[in-house]
Amino acid sequence: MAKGDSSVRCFQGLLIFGNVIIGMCGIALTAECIFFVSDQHSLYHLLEATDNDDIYGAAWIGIFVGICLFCLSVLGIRGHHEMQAENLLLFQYFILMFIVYAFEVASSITAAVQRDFFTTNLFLRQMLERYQNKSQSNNDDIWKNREVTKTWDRLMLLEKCCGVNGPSDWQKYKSAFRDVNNDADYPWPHQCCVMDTLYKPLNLDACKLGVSGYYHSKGCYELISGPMNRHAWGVAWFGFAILCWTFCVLLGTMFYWSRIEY
Amino acid sequence: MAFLTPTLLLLVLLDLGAAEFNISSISGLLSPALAESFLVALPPCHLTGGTAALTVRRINETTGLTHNFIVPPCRGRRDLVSVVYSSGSFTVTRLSAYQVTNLIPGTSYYVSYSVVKGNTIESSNRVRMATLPRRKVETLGLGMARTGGMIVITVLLSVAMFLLVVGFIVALVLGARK
Repeated sequence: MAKGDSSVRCFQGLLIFGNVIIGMCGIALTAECIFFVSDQHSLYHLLEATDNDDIYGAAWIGIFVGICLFCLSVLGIRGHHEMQAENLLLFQYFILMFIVYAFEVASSITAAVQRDFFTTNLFLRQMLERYQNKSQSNNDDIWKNREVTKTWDRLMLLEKCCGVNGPSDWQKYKSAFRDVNNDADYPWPHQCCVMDTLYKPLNLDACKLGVSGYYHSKGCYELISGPMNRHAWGVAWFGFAILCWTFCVLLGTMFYWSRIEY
Repeated sequence: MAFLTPTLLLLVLLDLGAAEFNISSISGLLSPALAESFLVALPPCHLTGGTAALTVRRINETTGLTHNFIVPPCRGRRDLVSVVYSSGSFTVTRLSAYQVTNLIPGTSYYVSYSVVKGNTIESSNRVRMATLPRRKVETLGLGMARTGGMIVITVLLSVAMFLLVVGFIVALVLGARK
């Protein structure tokens, strides 16, 4: 097939269009992953403490993959425009695309698999073990305990929720919190109480007894798992969609290169 | 030591008897069950001002702790939930109960009153109340919630990667042959 044929030019046009889409998707992936890495809900420390923070790693890979996809799409368009007999640009395009493809595959699979770790028991166990845990075992633990305590305090105060499933978590299970606070004064943390405008409990006695209206009986799990699931799904499945499109474009480019280019 | 002052909130409807009165457990009705304490209803209104002795003992023991307090005044009658102030958008409910604390989680207790007012002594029925059992953190299972999504994505992407590598090799071979 000659290079000047109209069907060949049409095919070339399609591949250029495919590369344009890859470039735009790359920018979109970068923007989405920057949004996730910026951690708008400040939930990173809960994951860091359970050593399950790989979805942030997947998002970081997504940022760089997105930029690379954009640059490579420019290279691909340039490669299709080359009129020389020996076109090394497309060969370089393939090699670099494989590398980027492999990284994006890793990122998508990591995000999809890690999402399945987010169960109520994971966060419940971490909360019971680390919240207000003042033991001085090692620096890493001290740091994690402090961050988990700060995150839970902020979550319970601002989102008006208590515990993972509800305030009964503090009653049903032994915890580090229970070891430092006596049950009569602190059946659950005072951050679970309904607060007035000065962030003082409306009625501390009513809150301690669990009278409805004076304490938050809603659990915080939905508020934690919601953003994290969206994060993981966004990275995993948008990455998967880009990879499907890139797969088709790469196959078409290989066909073009082997049958038409030479 | 247990609290000596009753906390204010819900009230309980009580039967009036001659020298005996009935109490019922209100723990868990309007507030969640607790592991180291429970709420016991106060003696009825006619015993206001008397000295109440609340005996709490474990099921399989013969002696228990006695908590003494003065029976507080009633506001009208002792109802389960009495609306004290209602103003369209919010309602204030009052609860009158006695909170027994420093109990052992997951145990059953027998609770009974003996009230002395003037020359009369009235006692109540014996009510069985239990505290919530408390589990260890290690009993929480940490299994993954396996979904089909991760199988799908792994399989599809691995196959795609493999096909791309095969396609590249084929393209190289075909191109070199020309």
